[in-house]
Amino acid sequence: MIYFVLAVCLHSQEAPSDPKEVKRRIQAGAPQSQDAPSGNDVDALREKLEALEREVERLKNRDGKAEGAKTATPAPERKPGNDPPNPQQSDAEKKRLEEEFKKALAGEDKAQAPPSPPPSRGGAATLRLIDLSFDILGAAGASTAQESDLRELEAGGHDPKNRGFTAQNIEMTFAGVVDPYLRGDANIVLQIDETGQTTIELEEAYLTAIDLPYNLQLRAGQFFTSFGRLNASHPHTWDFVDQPVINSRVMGPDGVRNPGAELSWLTPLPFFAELIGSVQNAQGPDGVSFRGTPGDVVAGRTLVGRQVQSLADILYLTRLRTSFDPTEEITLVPGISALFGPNATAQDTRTEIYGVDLYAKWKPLANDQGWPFVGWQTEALYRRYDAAAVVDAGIQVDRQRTLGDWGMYSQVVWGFARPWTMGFRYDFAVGQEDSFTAGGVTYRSSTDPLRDRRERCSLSLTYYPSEFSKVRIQYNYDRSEFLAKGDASSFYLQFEVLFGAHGAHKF
Amino acid sequence: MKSIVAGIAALGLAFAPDFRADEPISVVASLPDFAKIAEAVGGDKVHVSTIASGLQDPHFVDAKPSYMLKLRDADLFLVNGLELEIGWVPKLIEGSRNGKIKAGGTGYVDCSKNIPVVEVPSREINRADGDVHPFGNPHYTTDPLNGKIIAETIAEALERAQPSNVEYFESRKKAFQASLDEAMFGKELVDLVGGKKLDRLCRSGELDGFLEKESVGGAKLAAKLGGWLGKMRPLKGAKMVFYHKSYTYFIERFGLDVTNFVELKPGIQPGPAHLADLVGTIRKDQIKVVATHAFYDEKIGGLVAEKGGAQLVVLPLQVGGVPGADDYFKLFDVVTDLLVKASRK
Repeated sequence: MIYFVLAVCLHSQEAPSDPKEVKRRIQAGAPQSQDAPSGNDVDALREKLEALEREVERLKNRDGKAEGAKTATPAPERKPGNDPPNPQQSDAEKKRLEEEFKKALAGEDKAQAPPSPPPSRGGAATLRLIDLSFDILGAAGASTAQESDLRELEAGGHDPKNRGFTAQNIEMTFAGVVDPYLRGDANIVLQIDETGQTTIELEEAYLTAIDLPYNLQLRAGQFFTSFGRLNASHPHTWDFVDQPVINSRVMGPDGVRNPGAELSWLTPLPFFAELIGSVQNAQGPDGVSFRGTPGDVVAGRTLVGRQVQSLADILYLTRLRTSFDPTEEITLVPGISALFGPNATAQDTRTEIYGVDLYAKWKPLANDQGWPFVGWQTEALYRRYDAAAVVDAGIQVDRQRTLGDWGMYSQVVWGFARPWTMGFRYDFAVGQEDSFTAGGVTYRSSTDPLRDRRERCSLSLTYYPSEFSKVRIQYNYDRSEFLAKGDASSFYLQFEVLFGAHGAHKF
Repeated sequence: MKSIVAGIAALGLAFAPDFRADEPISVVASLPDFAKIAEAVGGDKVHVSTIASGLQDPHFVDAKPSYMLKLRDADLFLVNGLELEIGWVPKLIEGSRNGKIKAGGTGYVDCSKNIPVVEVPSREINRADGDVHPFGNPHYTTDPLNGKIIAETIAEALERAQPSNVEYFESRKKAFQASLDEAMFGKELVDLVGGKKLDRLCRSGELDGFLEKESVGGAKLAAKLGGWLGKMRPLKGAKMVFYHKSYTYFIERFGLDVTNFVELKPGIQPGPAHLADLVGTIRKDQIKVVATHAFYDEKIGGLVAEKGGAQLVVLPLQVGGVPGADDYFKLFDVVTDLLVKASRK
């Protein structure tokens, strides 16, 4: 993988010795003052110009003489017959000439060659300031579901929600080392939403303290919460065109992310075990299971404006990630996560999300640019959501409920032959209780696209022309309670191009 | 409860950093060539482990968590540099939380230091050129003479880490370098001319001339050339096809003639047109050897060799790349054996 390096090259401003260069500089007005010329200045300039022209003449003459001198010295090898290169020169002649040249060149070498120091890395050093990259991820889709239903089926913020075309994720990344202690990363995402509006989101922007003692690492800023495997990953690294149903439901369309700080610790245990803890804000569209956006409706309840009044109104994550290599060719990465925070159905209600995840990968040591391989990833998530009692004009309309939602996905990606991969994913999600009962009317989870019982099978085939581009086709079969027909089939074509620097992906 | 506390305390003690000076230096190498050289130079004063195996393509190694663990407690991290490991080493260093071994840190040892790098692009390059290396061809360990420079770099790092053992490392380094000279040129020639001079002549391309010109006891020095160079002498100028530009340093050192590659461009898979052309070239030039590595598609290489009437040879790119290539010396024993044998057929 090659990084695009922004290099600062400092060229020393030497006096030009080439007459053309002198002239160019005169024409470009290089040595002149930048102020508008007054009468005196014009005179001064004319004088200067004349002086420079004389200089040019002098240099021209000198060069001309030098050339004359060169041509005047007859080259010893030169014979009149050879003056125009003769294409039919005999092999013997060619060989003889080569020999002569060889000798001449070898002689010159010996005369000039000082005890040579090891050759250096080719010229000017580069100062690496920032790595920039631009990633374009787009899709085309067709579905048996109506577009309005498709948007519920594909509830992820970067999922292809349209019949026709979707600009899923146009991402700019910036990364660089700040100083000996800090590194900076930022991802800014542009997107064209289903109404055709271009939206911009500050996906991530954070610093990482890279020089802490005791195997610690600190991140601070706006970042994806390190919950499970998928939440913190970017859409262009996904193995499918869309995110799993359960992630869209409990982590939200764009995943859980908010400004905050994270401390992670690589434990001194004899196997890989990383403990992560973070504190972040809990509001906005990137915290839908938590404080969310006031006025939004969750499980029949309108979210209230909740403010941070104590430490209980902040989002807390704990995660343990471990890893084992049963053989040199198999790697296991199991993890568990828990997320605690407030939710805005009332001033004191809470949400908890728990997750377990496992990634297993087989890849032979003698692999051809990563092929063949098999990667198996599974996550299960459970959300416990305190939905406050609903009170209207002093009358309790619905009692307080604790809503349980859970779901999982399991996917296998098989790199069967370079540069092809095939993927299969099974998705399941269900809301356990009905959301709301008022006046004899029950808002059943089965009619709520975000809480109904859903199953999905996805099959994908991806072709990678290089590490920096891909084309993917995917078929989704959805079975869903909220759909009138009960099921839907959708086809997608996705492409990605990435240009600029891009670091290695997380394992 | 008490026992839990005691257990945690014991755990803490067991993994507390140890600063005893006579403790072996913990050295981790990204690739096995460096590990073997570090073992040779460091002797019993180092504890060496390797991340990638010799079977792997060093461009494509996963940044596995277990590798981060290996680096967590490393004193020195030996890397190839020249952006060969850019897809995984930076991620590993970050994940290891080990400030010592980060780029520019005291424990970060870039083994490309002082290596005369070839194929440094002299024009603007971009990704249309394939998997390009802006700092030049990174596979410099394929030239045995470079092993001596690497030993120098590693010895320097070990001496910095444990100044009390400078003499130990120096003498082991010199012994390693001397053995490499003998393995390269043959003991007899080294005794007559000296390793330093042979190295210089070999690098400047004047060795052949020198060996032809000088004589000892009535016989030309050329007759005394042994070692890998002596063994490979009949192959000088032999045309071969390689899969990737991974052997450029070896090819230059041993005077092979390689201008055709199975890959279309570095890292870019060939199409049929290119392969058909290649077969044509192999037939026309009567090329006998198509060389590849275990991690490349053997089908493509095999087919090209078969259609062209050449031999497919699977060469190790690193120590451990094929059975028998167990250290830096055996690596070249095996490579030269394979090439000589295939060329005879």
